[in-house]
Amino acid sequence: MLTDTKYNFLVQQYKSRIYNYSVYLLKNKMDAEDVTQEVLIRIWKNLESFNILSAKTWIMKTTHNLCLDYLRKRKVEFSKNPYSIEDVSEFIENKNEDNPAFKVENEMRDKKIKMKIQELPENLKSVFVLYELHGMKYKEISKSLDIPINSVKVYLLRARKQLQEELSKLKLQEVA
Amino acid sequence: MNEELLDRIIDVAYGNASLLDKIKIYLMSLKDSEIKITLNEYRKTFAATRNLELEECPDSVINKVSKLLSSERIDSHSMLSDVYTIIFRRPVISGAFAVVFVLAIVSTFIFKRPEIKQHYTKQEIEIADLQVKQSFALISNVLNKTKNTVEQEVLANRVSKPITKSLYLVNDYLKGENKNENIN
Repeated sequence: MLTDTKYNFLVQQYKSRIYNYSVYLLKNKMDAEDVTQEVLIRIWKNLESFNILSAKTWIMKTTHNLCLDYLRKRKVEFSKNPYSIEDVSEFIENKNEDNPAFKVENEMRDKKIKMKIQELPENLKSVFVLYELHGMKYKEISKSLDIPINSVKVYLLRARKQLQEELSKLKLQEVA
Repeated sequence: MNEELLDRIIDVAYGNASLLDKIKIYLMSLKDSEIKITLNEYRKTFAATRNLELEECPDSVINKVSKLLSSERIDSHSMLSDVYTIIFRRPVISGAFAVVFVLAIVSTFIFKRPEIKQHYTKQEIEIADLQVKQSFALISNVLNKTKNTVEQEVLANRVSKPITKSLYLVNDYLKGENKNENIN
């Protein structure tokens, strides 16, 4: 009964983080669902081995390692992106009914940023997603990814620069 | 623009810079338009990044996991195993339980009252019963004798006789007075 409560709490707390991180790393929603499922099962199996306070780093570490395994094992289909043009157009069709155009524009911009974040190299992307999107601290990221804190800081800076460069390029392409 | 300056601008845009750096970059951006543009670009990206919503995990994933785990949950996790886990897997809790257990044993020895255990045979109980009856019979005899003595001797001889005598005396005295009155 208590283990159920602990498990349910962890699932509610981290299910979207796990899924979100997996989507960014694997660039594929189906694979992200598989990884999320696997992580949730591993949480259940290892529920006694980790403290609830250190659960965050354990879960993100497990998610990260599983994503790396997926990337190694499978040939990830890079051409099919979860934020592809079809998805965006679908989104516009749905949202135009209720919302003004500028909101759709913002959403499209977000999709582009997400896409560009996904295109970052794996090591930069991991740090960027955990720090900027999940709000994790340097120390937590360092533990989750098994890298020194200084590397976390360096990767974060590089990721920010690269993302900015990519967005600037995209802007130039759109203008042209 | 050199790398060091760009790093500082990024830190300021993402809110990781110190107050001094923020002021420096702000002042520099007032003079240099390139710095200002770069700073604004990074700020925009930062703001957009912070506004990104987390992808919601589909319910289908949770449902699948729940189905997979449901049988395992029933089999392997009972209330007893939960209690066992709580007590014995945590050193602090198991330590506390050990202390309470030792205290309970020690207090039992300290506050224990010596118990008088009586083991009598049936014969002994019957003899005791008989002796009690005999003692009651003796007491009854004594009380009966006392009653008789009081009724026959004390009340008749020591109380009743003096009272009768005194009544006669009073009577005689009163008769004698009547005679004197008649003579007068």
